Order: sequence, then C-alpha cells, then structure tokens
Amino acid sequence: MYIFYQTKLKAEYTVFRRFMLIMRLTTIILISAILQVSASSYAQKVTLNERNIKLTDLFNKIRTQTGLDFLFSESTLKGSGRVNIKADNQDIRVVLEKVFNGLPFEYRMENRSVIISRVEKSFIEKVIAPLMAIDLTGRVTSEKGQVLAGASITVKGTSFKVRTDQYGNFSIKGLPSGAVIIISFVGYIDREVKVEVPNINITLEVDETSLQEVQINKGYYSTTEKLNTGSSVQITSAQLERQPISNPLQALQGLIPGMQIRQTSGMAGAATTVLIRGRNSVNSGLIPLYVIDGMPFSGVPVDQQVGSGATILGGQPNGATDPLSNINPADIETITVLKDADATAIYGSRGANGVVLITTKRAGKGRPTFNVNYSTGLSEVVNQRGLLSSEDYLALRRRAFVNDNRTPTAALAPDLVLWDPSANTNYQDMLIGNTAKQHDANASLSMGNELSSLLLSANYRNESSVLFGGGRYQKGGFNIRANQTSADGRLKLDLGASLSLTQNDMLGSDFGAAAISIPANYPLYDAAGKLYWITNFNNPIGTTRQSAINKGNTLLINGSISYKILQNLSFKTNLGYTKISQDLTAKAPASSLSPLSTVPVSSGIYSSTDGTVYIAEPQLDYNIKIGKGKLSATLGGAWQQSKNNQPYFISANTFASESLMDSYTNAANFTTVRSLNSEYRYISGFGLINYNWMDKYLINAVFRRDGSSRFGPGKKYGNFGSVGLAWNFSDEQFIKDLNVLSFGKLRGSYGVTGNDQVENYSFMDTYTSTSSSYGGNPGFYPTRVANPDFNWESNKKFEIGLELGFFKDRMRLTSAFYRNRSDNMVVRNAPLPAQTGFTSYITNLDALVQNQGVEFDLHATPVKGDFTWDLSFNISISRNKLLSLPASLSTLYGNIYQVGASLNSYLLFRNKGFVDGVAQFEDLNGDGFIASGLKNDTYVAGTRDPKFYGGFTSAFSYKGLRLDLLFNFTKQIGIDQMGFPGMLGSQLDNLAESQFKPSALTSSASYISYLNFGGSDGLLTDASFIRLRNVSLSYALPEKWQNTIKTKRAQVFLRGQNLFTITNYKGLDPETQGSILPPLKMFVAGVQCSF
Amino acid sequence: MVLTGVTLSGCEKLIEVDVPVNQLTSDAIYADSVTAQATVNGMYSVMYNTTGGGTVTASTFGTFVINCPARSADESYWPNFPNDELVNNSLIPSSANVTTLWNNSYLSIYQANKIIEGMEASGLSATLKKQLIGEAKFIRAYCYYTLVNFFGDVPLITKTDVQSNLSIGRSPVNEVYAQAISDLKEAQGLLAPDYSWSAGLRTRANRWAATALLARVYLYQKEYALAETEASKVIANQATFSLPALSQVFLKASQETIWAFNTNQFGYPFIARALLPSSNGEPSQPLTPNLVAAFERDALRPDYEDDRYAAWVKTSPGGRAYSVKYISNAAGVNTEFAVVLRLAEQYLIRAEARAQQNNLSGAATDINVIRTRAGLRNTPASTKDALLLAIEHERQIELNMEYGHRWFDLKRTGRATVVLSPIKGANWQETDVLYPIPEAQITNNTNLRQNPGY
Repeated sequence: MYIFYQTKLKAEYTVFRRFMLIMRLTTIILISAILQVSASSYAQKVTLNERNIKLTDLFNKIRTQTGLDFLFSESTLKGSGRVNIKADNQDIRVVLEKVFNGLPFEYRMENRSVIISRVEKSFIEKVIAPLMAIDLTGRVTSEKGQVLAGASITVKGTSFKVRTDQYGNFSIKGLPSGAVIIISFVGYIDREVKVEVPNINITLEVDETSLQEVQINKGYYSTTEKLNTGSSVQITSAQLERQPISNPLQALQGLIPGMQIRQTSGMAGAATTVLIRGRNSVNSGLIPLYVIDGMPFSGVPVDQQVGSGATILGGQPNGATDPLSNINPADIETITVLKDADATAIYGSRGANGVVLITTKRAGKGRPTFNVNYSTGLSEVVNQRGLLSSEDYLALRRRAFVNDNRTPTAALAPDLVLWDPSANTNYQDMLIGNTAKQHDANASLSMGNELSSLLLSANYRNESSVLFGGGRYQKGGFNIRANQTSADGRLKLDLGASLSLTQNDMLGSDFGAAAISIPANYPLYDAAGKLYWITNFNNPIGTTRQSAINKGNTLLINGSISYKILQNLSFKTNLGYTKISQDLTAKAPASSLSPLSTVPVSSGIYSSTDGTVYIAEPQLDYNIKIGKGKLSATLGGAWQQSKNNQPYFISANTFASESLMDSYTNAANFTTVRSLNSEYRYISGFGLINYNWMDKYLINAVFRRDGSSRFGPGKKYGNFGSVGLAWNFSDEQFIKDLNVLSFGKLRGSYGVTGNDQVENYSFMDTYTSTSSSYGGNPGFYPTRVANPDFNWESNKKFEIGLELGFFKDRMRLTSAFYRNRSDNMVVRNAPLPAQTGFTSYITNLDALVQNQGVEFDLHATPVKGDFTWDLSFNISISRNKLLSLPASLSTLYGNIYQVGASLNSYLLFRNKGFVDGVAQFEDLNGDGFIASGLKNDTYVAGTRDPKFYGGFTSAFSYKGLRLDLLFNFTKQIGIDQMGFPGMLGSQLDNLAESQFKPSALTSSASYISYLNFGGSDGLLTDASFIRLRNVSLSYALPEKWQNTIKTKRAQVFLRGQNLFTITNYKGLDPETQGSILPPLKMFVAGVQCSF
Repeated sequence: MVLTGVTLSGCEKLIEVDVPVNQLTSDAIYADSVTAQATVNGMYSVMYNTTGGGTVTASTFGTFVINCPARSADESYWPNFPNDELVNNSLIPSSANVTTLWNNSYLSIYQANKIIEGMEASGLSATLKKQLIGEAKFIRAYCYYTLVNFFGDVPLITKTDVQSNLSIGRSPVNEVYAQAISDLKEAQGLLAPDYSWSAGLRTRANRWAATALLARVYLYQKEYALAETEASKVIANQATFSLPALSQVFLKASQETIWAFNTNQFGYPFIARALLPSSNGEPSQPLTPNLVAAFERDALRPDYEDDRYAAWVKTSPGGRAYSVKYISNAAGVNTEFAVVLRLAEQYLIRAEARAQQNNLSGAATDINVIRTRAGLRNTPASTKDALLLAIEHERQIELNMEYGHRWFDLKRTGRATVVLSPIKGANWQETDVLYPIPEAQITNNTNLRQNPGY
C-alpha cells in the first residue's frame, strides 16, 4: 500500500490519491557512482543522527558508512519530503525499516546495492483511502506529564506541519489511515506514530543530545549551540522567573561566566554595574550594549543620558535609576550574552564591552491561554554591622579626653555631658531595620494559529522600603505583541509595544551611613520636643521630612517585516522607537535641615529628562549549498538616531510655605535653571559570511563599518570585524570510535570591536550659554578645549573555546580562554595643565589594557527519571592589566594607574604598624614625607577585581515538585571601614583591632595618622563571599486536581533571595561594601495559574 | 562589502548632528554681533559667578582673590578654623585655594585669548572688534597681574592652541608684566572712553579701566614716572571720576568706580556674603585686631578720628570687627557692585610714584585728598621714607579687604617679613611671599618647577 500526500492551504489537511503510472524502475543515478567502495569498508551497522534530512542526503551518509549503493531514479523520490532518523550502531535493515515506515516506497537489497521503488497501490486501496480518512486529535506531553506547547507534528513524507497549543493539543483533519506523523519538540526525542485511531496521547522523552540544537540568538542572525562559532550564553525565562527581582540583570548574577554583576545598593530600582570580561577602558564607558528585540537600549541611568553636567546631583534618590529595571522580567523569553569577537563584532563599534540581547515573549499557537501569576513577600536587611556597646563607646570617649588633657564640655562632647548616658537606641534597627513588603502580579493572554498570534500582558509591582520613614517603589506596565505570516509563508510581520511606568518615592537618603554612625545615646528630640541637631550628623527624623519622587516611563515599540524573495533569499527590516523619560521632584524643606550653621532655607530640585531612539535596520539573507557545505551570507545596514532632552532642570529655594514646594513656580530664588539636549546619530553597514561544511567545520566572518556623530570630521568611520572557526570534532569517525564524547567542539575567534561610549559633541569647538547672566546680559563660555582629532577606541578580542559533552550530553563542559586587548584609549578627561584653560580634555592615549581569563561552565544531570537532579557550576578567573602607558603620560596617571597592574588597583600606603598609638607608614620613595601625588609613597596593594567569581546551581525535581538553589561566589579583597577611637560618632566593633591612641582632637598625632591610615593597606580585608542568592521551591498541582479547578497548569511557589551569605567581611555586605544599604534578604510566596 | 562602502560614503549627512540648543560653534558665535558680545559677558560671568561652567566651582574673582591674600597678610582671620592654611601661611601645593586661583585665572585667560582670536578673524564691524578685543586684552592683563602677584613666574599663554600650550614653562615676572603692559596699552587704544558699552554701568572695562590698571602695573614695576602719568590721566578726568562720601563709595552709581563686577547670579556682591555676619550674628572672617588698631582713632579729637572706621567697620555681639564696605548680602536688596578699580587708589598710586621721584609735596597733596575725605588732618609725614610709610598705611586703611592690595603691597615693597613676621610668629617664612604652584600643574606639565619652600 502506498499513499502520497499533498498539502492544501491552511490548517485543514486533505489528502487524495494520486495515480502513478510508473510501473518500472528506472535505476540510473547513483550518488556513489564515481566512488569505488572497497569491500573492507563494507559494514552492516550504521550510526546516524539526522533531522530533517533529504532522502538523497541520507542515502549518501549511509553509503559512506556501509559502502552500500542506492539505486533509484530521480523521479521516484520526487516530492518525498524529509525524514528524521536516529540510530546507534544499528543493523542497516532495521534502519531502513524505520526510514521507509510510512513512506510510499519499498526497497530491496541486492549484493551491495539498495534498490528503491515506489509502491503501486491496488485499485481498491485507491478507492477506499478517502473513506478511511481520520480526523485526528491528540495531546503531547513529556514523560513527566508536562504539557508541551508548540510541539510540531509533521505528516511523514510531506511538508505539512501543525503545532500544539498551550495545552499540548493538536488536530489534523482528513488524515489517511495508516499515515505516519512525526512529533518533535526542542529538547525531546522525535517520535513517529502510525495513525490508526482518531485520538492519541503522545509522550516525548527528553533528548539530551538535542541541547546541541538549541537556537542561539546572535542578534542579526541565529545559530544553534552546535554550530555556534562564538562565545555566548543564553538564559531562558524559566531561570529568570525563579527570582523575585525587579531588574532582569540581577537574575543573571552567578549564572553567566565572564559576566560580573554587582548590585550597587539594596534600594529598589537602583543601578546594577555589569562588566563583561573585565574593564577594557581607562575611562570610556564600560556598559555592555543592551539590545531589546533588536533595539539598542541605553544602560546609562536616565538622568545621565543627556551628557555631562546634566546629572541630577543630590536630587537622585537611592543612587542612579537603572533603565533596565523598567523592563519587566516576566516579559522576557531569553537573555543572550555575547562575549567574544565572533559574537560581538557584528555590533562593531559598540561591541567592545560585550552585548546583552534580550528577546521578549511571543504568543504560542492554539486556543487562548490566560496566565496569571501573583506573589507577595517580605524583605529586610540581612545583617547588621557590629558596633561598640554604648558603655564601651562612652568609656572610649572619656579616655580620649583624658589623653588630650581636655575636659569634655557641652560643646566638645554633648554625648558625655548633655545626653543621657543610659539611652541606648539601636539606630540600625530604627533606620534600616524595617521589613519591606512586596506584591507582584503578572497576567497574560496569548492566542494564535498557524499564521497569526497575539500576546497581551500586564504587570504591577509594589515594594515598600526597609528604611525609617518608608517610601515605595511601584512599577506597572502593559505589553502587546502580534505576529502575522502571509498565507504563502513568505511575508512575516512581528510588532510589539510595551509601556512601563515607575514611581519611586523612596527617601532621598539611604540611611546606611547614618545607621552606623549615630551614637546610641543621641537624642532625636530636645527637651522642648523639637528636633535635636548637632553639626556631626543629620537628625534622621529631619531627613524623613525630605522627599524625592521619581516618575519614569519607558515606551518600546518595535517591529520587523521579512519577506522571502526566493527560496534562499530573504529581506528583513527591523524598525523601532524607544522613549524613556523621568521626572523628578526632590524637596528639602527648611524644617528638615540643621539650623546650626546657617538659617535653613527650603530648597527643591525639579527636573524632567527624556530620551528617544529611532532605528532602522534593513538586511538581506542568502543561503546556498556549495559542495558539501552550506554558505549563508547576510548584508545589512543600520541607522540610528538618539535624542536626549532635559526640558528643564531647576534648582530653586526660598518658598513662602513648605506646603508650596510641589511647584518651583512658588520659589523666590533660582540657583540653576537649565535646559539641555543632545543628539547622537549612527550609521553602519555590515556583512556576514558563514560556511558550514557538513556541520563539522565552520567558519564565520563578520565585517562592520560604523559611522558615528560622536567623532570629528574625518574620524567618523571605523572598521570592525572578526573571524570565528569551529570544529565539531565529535563528528569525526575516530572520535566516535572512542565512544567517550557525545559532543566535542573546538572553536576560536579573533576580531576587533570598538567602544564609542564617549560624550556627544566632544570634538566640537562650541560655546555654551552661562546658567547665570552677567548683569542681565546673556553670556557664553567655551564648553571645552576642543579636540577634533580623537577617534575610535579599539578592542581586539581573542578566544579559544572547548565544548565537550559526555554521557549523551548529560554532562556538558564549556571552557574558554580569552585575551582582550584595548588600545588607542579615548580618555574624556585626560589631565591637562590648567594653563591651557581647562584641566582636562578628550584625547586618545596610547595605552594598552589587557583582560585575560579562563571560564568554565559545567552542566550535569546526575540523576534522571521521576526524580531528576540537575547541577551546574561556573567559574571565571580573569586578570586585568595595564600593559603600557606612554612615558609622557605616566606622570599624569601615576597616582591612579600603574603599568603592570590592574586598572582597578588599590594604590595605598604601606602600614608599618603603630608606635605609641600613631600609625606608621613606609616612606617608599625615601623623601622623608608620607604623601601621595608627586611625592608618591603608594604601592599596588591589591585590586578591586575579583580573583575569581561564579555560581553554582542545583535543581531537584520529583514529579510536580521542584527545588532550585542558586549560589554565587566571589573571591576578592575589599576595604573595611574603621572609625577613629575617641571621636563623636558611633564606633564599629573592629575598633578592638585598632591600635590608635584615642583622641577627640583632629590635630592629635594619632588622628592625623588615621587620615593616612584610610589610604593605606591597613584597611584591606578579605571581602570574599558565597551567597545563597536564590532558592525556589515550586509545586505543580497534579493533573487530576487541575482538571477539578479547570486550570491547564497551576503551581504554587516559595522563593527566597539572598537568604544567607558566608563571608569574613565585617561590614554590612561584601558585595556593596561601605555603608550603602546592602542587597536585601527576601521571602516570596506566590501562585501561578494558566487557564 | 563593496556595496556597504559605497552606500556609506553617501550617508555622511545621516550622521551629522546639530549642536545642542544651549550651544553654538565658535565659528557661528563670532559671526553675530549679539553672540560675540555674549562671549565677553560670559568671560566676566565666569570670572565672577559661582557656576559659569568650565572648571569654575567657586567665585574666583568674587571672593578668592580678596579673601586669600587678606588672610595671608594681616587683614582678616578665620576664627572657626584655627589651623587655616592662609592665616598660618602654611599653604600646601594641593590646597584648593591655590588650585582655584591658578586654574580659574587661566580659564579666564583662555576665554580672553579665544575672544581675541575669534574677533580678529571675524567679519564683524571694526567698532565692535576694537571694543571686544580691548576688553579681552584688559582681562588677560588683569589675570596675569593677579597670577604673578600670587605665584611669581608663571606660564605666559597668549594663544588657545592646546597642544602648544600644555608644555609651556614659567616665564619671568618681568616678561609677564611686559605682556600685561603691552595688552593694556593696546586696550587703551581699542576701548571706548566711556561706559556706553555697559549702558552707563561701570561693569565692563573701558579706556579708563585700562589706564588705571596700567598705572598700578607701572607702580608695581617701579616705573614711577609712567605710573604717575597714567594715574594723572584718570584723576584729571573729573567729569567722570570723583570721590564721593565714604558711604557712597561702593554703590552702583558711585562716581569713584573705574571698573566693577556686576552683581552675581543671586543679585549681590559675593564679598558681602563672605564678610558680613551669618545668621548667628558673628562674621566668619573678621578683621584682625592688627587692622582695627591701624585705624587712627581718637574720638575726642575729630581730626584724629578716621571716619572710615565708622563707615566701613562694625563690631559683632561677640566682639569681632568686620568689614561693612558692602552691606548687600541677600537677593533683592542689592545696592552695590564689587569694585575692582577706583579713584582713591589712583591718588595713592600717584602719591607713591611722586614720593619715589622725590616730589614730596605732590605726594603729600595726593595723600591728603584721601585723608580729607576720611575726616583726618593732613599727613604729618615730610621725608621720603616717612611719606612712603604713610602711603603704605593709607593704602592699608583705604583699600582694606579689596582685591589683595595689602598682601601685594607688603610683597612688592619688600616689607612682608618686617611687618608679618612679628604677627605670624614661627609660622612665617621668607618663602611664604609666593604661593605654591598647584601640585596637579607640576604633575601635568613637567616643565613647571615649584616655588622655593614647598
């Protein structure tokens, strides 16, 4: 019996018979005709792992393994479609049975030939086939019962294909009885099922080796894990969702080798510093290029995007606001981090610091699915700084006065004379010890069919603060994404828009410093019940009367249109628009300020900042087969315009009443009234050529030419490019014979990327209007010493990587060695002698900076089955080194950088201990003085760079229950804090180690030596840590229950963030160090349902 | 790739950007008479206002140029900071005071050089070019005069080209003065003889300002005959300049003013804010007992009672004497400009020049003009030495707390050690007459050498 299928348009499938009159076999064409196959190579066993392969190609592969010739006529195989086959050293006959199962062919083996012919149907068969047609419905699940949405179902021998919906369901109409369908899903082994009944349930087995097939987004193109010639790491939504954080970057901490992520503060919305493979530049920007759905997205805090001088100093609460915290993590499908030249060179001038690609979710196909997710939780400061007890502190103060031969007076020592010695307020409890609450809700609706899909989502998040005086961070947004494919599949549209609104009402101060410096017996109020003030620190109740309300919104609109011009040629254009804006009102009423030195005046800062980006990126993609290889080429261009505006920035004071401070129009006096804007334009052309020979040998070459408005005439363009090579050596027979590796790839790349993170207009000789007039007449002053000659900073990246898979890829190890070197440093503030008019200017320095390191990333599944245990471990070891600095410039930078040491070195005095309570330092240059600067006595005492860092994850799952643990660790040195014994102000408990002679006089020898001690190696300390960054326990309700509550998927979860930290560091936190509010400990419980 | 290259070459326009709304290119700014004048306003503004832009973070010519030398000499002190590096003459090369004086003087010089180059190349009217170039040369001369008096030999920069400027070493004081004199002479020829460019206000330099400063520079250079000639020119212009009553000297409309800074961005002279008492009633920078004692005072004999004490000095509840030459220290109550050049100094310049040329009676006449206004009898000095001391004293009183006169006088007459050593005690070293070159300058320009003693 044979059947031949033909596709009809749309999802409906009908089949009809086609009568074939080929009665005889015309055996002519042999693929192997040219080759003589020796008998010795003849074998009856074959090993194959092919997906979507043409029959002719498959026969070719079998021939090379077995020496068998295949005999058939071209017309025989016409329209036969493609097949999937996997065989591990199996008999050729078994393999051929598999291949031909469901296909309208039969074969016979004669001598060393396989002769293939079409099966002719009997007349009866032809007549009854339509009557036998089946309307098939089915459901696809994993072995563990998980629904597999988006699995594809192909009718064997045809190109007809449908996908499962959100519930794993699919249906095909008019399928002939006995037809074979192939069910496939990324990460699972394909299954072939012969259709005999109208309703089937199919379970798929997880396929480890198919990890190699995971699609990797590389920006302008995508590839698979196996065929990737570059270094990139991809994180999926599942990993992001487990962390109850608001900034997606924080979720990457500990997961990506080579990516160093540091939270700058525990305040909601605060910036995160990200460094991919070390600091490449002396002082150009170090921020990676963020690309969201093809749109570059600035990682620079919004208020700083206008340019220098536009930063809202003093008005920005809780540090700078990270624009990425405006992106809802729940909307993200994948985050891909590109690291080496091969991956980043296509981003040319902006790839030097690495590229982070964020792809948002698209709707699946199938019936509408409604998904809700709600969680709520608590957070608090993990740990308190140890302080001297109040009695010990006061005793120390008294001893200081004795040492100074002075009597404590009310003016000198209010803590000893005026304040109640028994008062004992724990200011850490009071100021940073509150419990913050958070609520997070996400809802999405997704629907689609073969040709179109739609996703709608909304989110809301509300976090309160651990700080005294409260404050709230709120964030909400909407997201819509629609996709449409034309009926012939040639035209594709993808459109999306998202709007995110934030409001940050956190206090203007983070209290971290106040909490550890206010003495325990400091009274907040005086006898008359008014706020009590002294000069040494602000009354925290005063601070709570200040406010800073920061409102932001982020609008992202992007889309792409692609059209398949020919079978192997397609055209695509990305278009996008982004607008981010931020408005700030920061108020410091007179009643919040100390009246001691001057009469307090109410003051406020009012500003509005926004940035818009337009981008257009057309590209042409072309694929062709050349010999045994595939060549693909892409040619594209990009044009971008970014505008930043600060319509107003007003610093005003003197209000008739504190209640009138919401508007600056009520102010009597204006100290700054400013309006700024800046513009940046960018144009580029790029090309990519990839040649893939049998999936075994790969070469990938990228070229990009960029032009940027940031550089002067004649310096605007730069050329960048890379070459990447990969060898999948596990496909070589001799490796296969070893039977050790399931995957093995050796890859290397070299290329040049650039860094254009310099200020706009830096080359221009301009005048700026003075913020204040001269006697009512407008004034202009020279903006800068212009240097039209500076140009691109270039970063040369070299990498060698080795990727190995063992035990059918149940264990995967990726290791990489890289060496990145940057030269032609653009230094925006290269020191100038002030006699030139300015103290700095922008120029290129002939300095060479190297980042060299190794990275290891291990993933393993030691136990698999009902109970599954997944493990991963990654570690990054890198060294930053300034290789050269021109001699003429070494004096300029001698205080900051030293050749041979890291750019992040600690240049400190060498502490030689104490003599009579006075710290001693080594006079390294022997001039009799201890000084920094010209008379330099500092040495490279260490570096701020971590020695190594990484993460460790462990996931256990048993049926619906799943436990995930994520640790991250960093080995580094940091700087401890230490107060001076005897001064007014609470003292840290490490004072016990201090050998300073207590004194309350800033002129005492011991205090003066303490000032140098702060710049010495005496405070260096181990700041290494291991942190349990995330714990997630989730339970998916069993199907029976789900049916009862009519959900498709329901799970409850408990999550914890920063639960504990193992460290020797004594301060609040080894990650943030100093007295900044540290990352918070967080517990969250929630529920997720899909309907 | 070829296609890419071809496409890009035609795309130059796509990456051209306009300058920001608050900026203009240097070419454009000197093509328009309004904006060209605004660069001159900007030059005064940056000198005087706290936030002009560039590296200005404090008012160099509003407070630093007055307060630093006043404390280095014996005019004022800083009771809240007993270890004040100025009062103790213990400046260090990294001191913010010297950095501000140095950096911002050179910023103003850069602006002046830029105006000179811009206007010379400009196609604007000859009248405008003359005035603006004249003002720039005047400011450049004033800044060099200030620099040499603080630092001694300094780099002489007269062009804007950064690459050639960055390695220039120190020029001898005489060469710097020669440049200042040449600039001032040119400015005399270029500038208008009246205050029409500043609408009658004496807040922009004119020919008389250049003449008055030239008289001062000649005096400092011991060119006494020339100093007398220049001072006489100013004094002779009685239609424009006269000596009003003591209470009127610093008012906006004062006939004595030759050149003053317009008010700061808050609407008052900075120096008033610096010297008048703060909210607790006490001044942060009171006059020294030494200066207070120098006033001739005898309430019983009006001829022996210096009226300037009553007019210009007050005492706080805490017993601190402070200067009330300026009384406007808050927005909206301003009646004064910060006067840099005024007629009284011209009389004293001429008196000293005459005394040095042995015209003793002429010297006495000029001193007595000043003393008469102060309600004092004529000077009893009759010998050259006595007259020179009398002039030193008269300058100490008349010009107290004004733009460094006392400090510069003691230094140029070689009397700093004689006068200050008894007051400052062990803190005083001979080498303290020069401020240190800021440390960063020596780091950034290896051709600079530090002053002795630092």
